[in-house]
Amino acid sequence: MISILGLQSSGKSTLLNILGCLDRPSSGSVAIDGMEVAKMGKAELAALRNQKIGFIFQNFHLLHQVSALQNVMLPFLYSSFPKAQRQDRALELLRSVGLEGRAHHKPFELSGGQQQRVAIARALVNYPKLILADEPTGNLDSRSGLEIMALLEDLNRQGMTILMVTHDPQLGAHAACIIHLKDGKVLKEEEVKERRRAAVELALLDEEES
Amino acid sequence: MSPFELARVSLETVAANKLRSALTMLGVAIGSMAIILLLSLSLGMNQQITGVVEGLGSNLYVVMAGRQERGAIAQGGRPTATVNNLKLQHAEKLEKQSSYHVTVSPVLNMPATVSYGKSSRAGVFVVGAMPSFPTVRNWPIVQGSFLRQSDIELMRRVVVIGKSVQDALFEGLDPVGKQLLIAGERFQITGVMGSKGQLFDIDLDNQVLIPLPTAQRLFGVNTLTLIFVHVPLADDIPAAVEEATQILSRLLRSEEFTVKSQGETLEALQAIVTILSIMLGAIASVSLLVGGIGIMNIMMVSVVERTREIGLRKALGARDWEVLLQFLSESTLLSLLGSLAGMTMAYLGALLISHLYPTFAVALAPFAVALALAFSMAVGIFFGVYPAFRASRLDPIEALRHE
Repeated sequence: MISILGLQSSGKSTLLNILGCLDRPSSGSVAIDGMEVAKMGKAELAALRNQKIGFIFQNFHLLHQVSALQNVMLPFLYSSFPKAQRQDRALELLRSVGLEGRAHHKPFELSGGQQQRVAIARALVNYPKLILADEPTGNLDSRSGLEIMALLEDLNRQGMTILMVTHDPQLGAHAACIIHLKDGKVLKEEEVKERRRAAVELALLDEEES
Repeated sequence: MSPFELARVSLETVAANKLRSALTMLGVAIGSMAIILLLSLSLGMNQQITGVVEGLGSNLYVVMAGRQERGAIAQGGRPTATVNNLKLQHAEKLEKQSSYHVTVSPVLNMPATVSYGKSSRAGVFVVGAMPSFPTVRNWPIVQGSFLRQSDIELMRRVVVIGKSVQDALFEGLDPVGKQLLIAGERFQITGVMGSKGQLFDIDLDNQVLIPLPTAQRLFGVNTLTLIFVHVPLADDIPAAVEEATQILSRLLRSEEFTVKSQGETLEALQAIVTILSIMLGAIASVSLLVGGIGIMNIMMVSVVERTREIGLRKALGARDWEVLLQFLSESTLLSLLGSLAGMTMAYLGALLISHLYPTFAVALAPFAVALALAFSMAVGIFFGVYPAFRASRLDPIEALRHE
């Protein structure tokens, strides 16, 4: 897990868009899973996003007219994932983010933390190589934020590469490595010495409250 | 995206905005209903006219007194008023001299008041006819017997009545053998004619038939109104009409008669209905077009409103053409559902019209339904293309940031 830390207009969004294959760099090269992005056409980039990258947004970006399950299955519309296994895959992911029994709820029937979990399940659905998280806890209270971070840390432990963009140094410390950006340039790369553990902090929080 | 998934996604969106979708569909529904109803009406009218003209009898041509220009019937015209010199002898000569084995049925038509007992009926057509009438006009008798040759020769006062006259004056009683008063004279009823129905508001059964010579004496004339001529073979009709014109030219001046085949009459009437249906169809199409503009309008709004959704779909891997197809299928679905609603409305409208005007039965023409459906779909696609194109061209980064 890597954090990209920077203030507003430090270029972190642009970097995220380029890494997410939503934008192409004007110079330099980006390779995702060994494939050079700069040479690809729009349709190829779309397929690459679908197959290799999972997006998590600050404001969740769920479709409000359909259920959590349908939201998780959304990327399947644009992939060739076997039809018969789609629903099972989505339900399995909803279970793994702790939302079993919420599959048929519409987003407005879920809390912010729960909505972000749906979005995480959606990001994972096509077995991506890379998760891009843009301020994933920015719209959540601190407890829900910690829960989401615990989930991401879990995924990271299981071997998923996660790139998180944030302006909050505290949040950046959840990652193994922080890249500081300023005015579109890498200021420094910093290894995190005392990595925060969301699961541990959650347990502490529970103790305080009880 | 498979077509099935495309349809499902479109349905979800349409269902998510029920009121808006319904209002958008309404425009198309009204347009479709107008097309279906108006075309069905004029097709029905056409059929009715065909039915009535063919009901005159099959393989007919008609000799009328006076000169009538081609197309004059389209202006509702009768033959221009000249001195009527058409007589029974002309009909007899026509039958004798024609080489096409024709049968003639000369008639004299006069309106008069008929009465039975205390009930009377004005404006009944009194038809002076010959025994050949039922054969030539393909108009069978349903009760009693028709006029006989002896009735003609002896100028008897006998009468065969039409269905409407029976209904109006006898109310279920058996009229055969009863005495009917026509223009003040007593006639004995020998039979009842079968029903021919109505042409618009003209009741074809509102007539009584009496021997031709009796009618001529009763009304004090020695002329005829019409001669119906039956030709055994349909293919002979044009030649027979030509020949009749020649035969009659030797007996009458050219402005004293007109020969017209059934086909010509039919064509003239159908021409009016065709013009009518084109006009009505055009008006209905305009309303469908307006419905299409409504769809375009709402789709434009929808694209703006759902900018973030479009950005999201693109981020998740939707290609431009997949976004285009999604919006296009949405506008097509709106117009399709609208058209189906229009069909239902047309069906109910047809029921209502049939209920209010029982004589004017409206059957929904499958052709009109298919046309309305195809036209609606075309409108949905045509007016959906531009908004869908706009959606497909959105930049995902900008779109995701859209507030």
